[in-house]
Amino acid sequence: MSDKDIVLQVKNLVKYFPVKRQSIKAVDDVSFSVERGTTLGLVGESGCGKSTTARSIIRLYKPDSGDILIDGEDISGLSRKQLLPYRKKMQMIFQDPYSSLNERMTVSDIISESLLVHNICAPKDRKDHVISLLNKVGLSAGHANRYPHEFSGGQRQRIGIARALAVQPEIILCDEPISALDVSIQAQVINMLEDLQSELGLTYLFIAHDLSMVRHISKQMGVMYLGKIIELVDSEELYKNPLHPYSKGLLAANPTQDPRITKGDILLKGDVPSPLDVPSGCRFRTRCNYAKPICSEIEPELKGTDHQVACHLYQ
Amino acid sequence: MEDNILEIKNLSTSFFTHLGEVKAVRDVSFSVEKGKVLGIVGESGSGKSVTALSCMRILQEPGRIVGGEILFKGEDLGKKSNKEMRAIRGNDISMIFQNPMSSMNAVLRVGDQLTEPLMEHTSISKKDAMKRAAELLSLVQIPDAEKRLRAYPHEFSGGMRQRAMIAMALACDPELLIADEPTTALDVTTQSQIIKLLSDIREKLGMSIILITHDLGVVAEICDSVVVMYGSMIMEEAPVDDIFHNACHPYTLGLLNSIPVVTGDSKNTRLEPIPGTPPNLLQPPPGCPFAPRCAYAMKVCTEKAPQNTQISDNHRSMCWLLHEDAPDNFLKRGNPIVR
Ligand SMILES: Nc1ncnc2c1ncn2[C@@H]1O[C@H](COP(=O)(O)OP(=O)(O)O)[C@@H](O)[C@H]1O
Ligand SMILES: Nc1ncnc2c1ncn2[C@@H]1O[C@H](COP(=O)(O)OP(=O)(O)O)[C@@H](O)[C@H]1O
Ligand code: SF4
Ligand SMILES: [Mg+2]
Ligand SMILES: [Mg+2]
Repeated sequence: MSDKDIVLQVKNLVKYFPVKRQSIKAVDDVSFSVERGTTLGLVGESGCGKSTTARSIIRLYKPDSGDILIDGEDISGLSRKQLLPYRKKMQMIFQDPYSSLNERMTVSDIISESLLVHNICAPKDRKDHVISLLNKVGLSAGHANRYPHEFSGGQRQRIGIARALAVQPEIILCDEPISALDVSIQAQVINMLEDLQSELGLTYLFIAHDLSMVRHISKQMGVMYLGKIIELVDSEELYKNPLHPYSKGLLAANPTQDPRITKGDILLKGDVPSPLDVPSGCRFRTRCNYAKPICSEIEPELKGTDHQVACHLYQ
Repeated sequence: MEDNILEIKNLSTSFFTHLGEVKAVRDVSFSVEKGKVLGIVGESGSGKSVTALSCMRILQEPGRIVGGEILFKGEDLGKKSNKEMRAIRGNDISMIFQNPMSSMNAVLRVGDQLTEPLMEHTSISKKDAMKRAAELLSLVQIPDAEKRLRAYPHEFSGGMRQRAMIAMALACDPELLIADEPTTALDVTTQSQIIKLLSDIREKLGMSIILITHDLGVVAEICDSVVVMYGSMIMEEAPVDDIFHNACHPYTLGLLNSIPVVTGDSKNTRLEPIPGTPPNLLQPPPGCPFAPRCAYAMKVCTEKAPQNTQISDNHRSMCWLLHEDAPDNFLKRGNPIVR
């Protein structure tokens, strides 16, 4: 590991939400690291803690425990003020291109807001900077003085990306950035994210429920289930050789996009259990066809070097 | 034809808004074979839902069917009275929607919602209706059906609610089920369960299905034939295998190239998005609605709506490139962008 340039490292991240004297274990001991200039994809059914992981990393939520290292510096315990320089290194783009932009501000104001906060460029250069950002995301100078409602979903997502790029971040956390977009527009945004990554050396954490899209853009993939990462591996390897029964089920559920391929039978049955009532031992055991007695007693740890998996079948 | 349960001929539907006429469906024709699944695929705003609502005759103001015929088992639904349509909707054709919560009554137990249409359309007793409701819930594979009849919709997970919706739609044994984006709000795991359920039920009950979706993956899994819509018009219609392996319309090809390949190495292949954005239906482009985004567009494409070209018996495409007068026939060139 030592020769790798790790820009983001998460160690034993925990985030619970209190509800009615109980707690939702939204993120429960999650660890991973992301190499500079690459993409880590997070997949899993809704409610598995993907967004909470991203939001805790960028400190929209205060983690209960665990370390978040940006370029080797732990930011998990920093105050708001101490965080400011790290906010510059890390930005987030959101799923809903409709609610994530302030309707009352012009595109130019939306993008320059963070320039002001971080005191990034001299006031006289600000306009040029905004225009160059707009050009980067495929919009033009003519768009600068318009309001969000004048744009389509795909264009709004571009504005969100331009806003994230404004502070020249190293890391962008992308939480379902394409889910609300039409198929033909999704590909536009994915290509743009790929181009920006190779041009600027950006590192992405990429969350989406379209598994084939996540695989397409990610070097590594983490599969989450009820607050845990249960498999973490190179994304091509995950597709060729998924180990965890949950990963197998998830991949099998993914449409083949070809009527000539008949799907295998590994249907994941039922729903994710309530996060208030997480099964003992392995959290997946209630839906697992391979569960053994040990699975309800001992929680399997995420083990392995290149191909990590948390399952008693492999320990 | 005898074998078609539904035939739509030159259907046009518009919304007469204060901004002008929104041509939501333009000159749409297709048929649904008995016992088969027809997919309608297209981006949001392409006119899929309005096509379905027109078939059911449940358009909201200011929407109006402005032309065409909707033949259900040979009879024109456009000529039916409202009363006759209500009976047809209860007995022969039913529809399920993307968001089950919005079409279920939140304060009514699932059992009561299931028995209501039964008791309205047949002379069944409450007790027998409850029995039938439990059967329906087991048919859609909801465990403990009898107990679940007493539950409220919010006590169900998203997938279970969609199952309950399907059960409600099946209550009167319809011959045609129209499912409008039934899996769009669901996880892939639940989506694959629902698709499996729909195809099992189709087999068991022998009904026909119109499945509306924006997801080509869903189309590949369950549909027998496919209608591709764009800008309120049909672009291509073909058996599912032809749509994926012998597409002849630049828009269909564009859609296929926008999604990552599932087999083989997806890393080093770049996606090929369709540039631009869908048309504004208040002022649709005069010719082919796809022309402003089409890499192959010719002058004629921006002036005149393309005509139907029959590729084979059941495969047709609306594109000037295929027209016999086109400068360099697209198909003869060996379909350059097919993947
Ligand atoms: N702000 C919050 N307050 C309480 N519970 C929350 C909050 N945000 C998320 N949760 C819960 O935490 C769990 C994980 O949610 P989330 O991270 O949004 O999952 P995902 O993004 O994978 O769908 C879910 O059970 C969700 O209901
Ligand atoms: N109530 C309405 N008033 C005005 N326009 C409408 C109304 N409902 C739908 N439309 C328009 O009709 C077109 C087709 O819509 P729809 O069939 O819902 O698309 P899809 O289901 O393919 O996403 C859209 O451009 C939409 O704006
Ligand atoms: S008619 Fe013209 S613009 Fe339309 S799809 Fe064919 S080539 Fe493209
Ligand atoms: Mg989320
Ligand atoms: Mg619709």
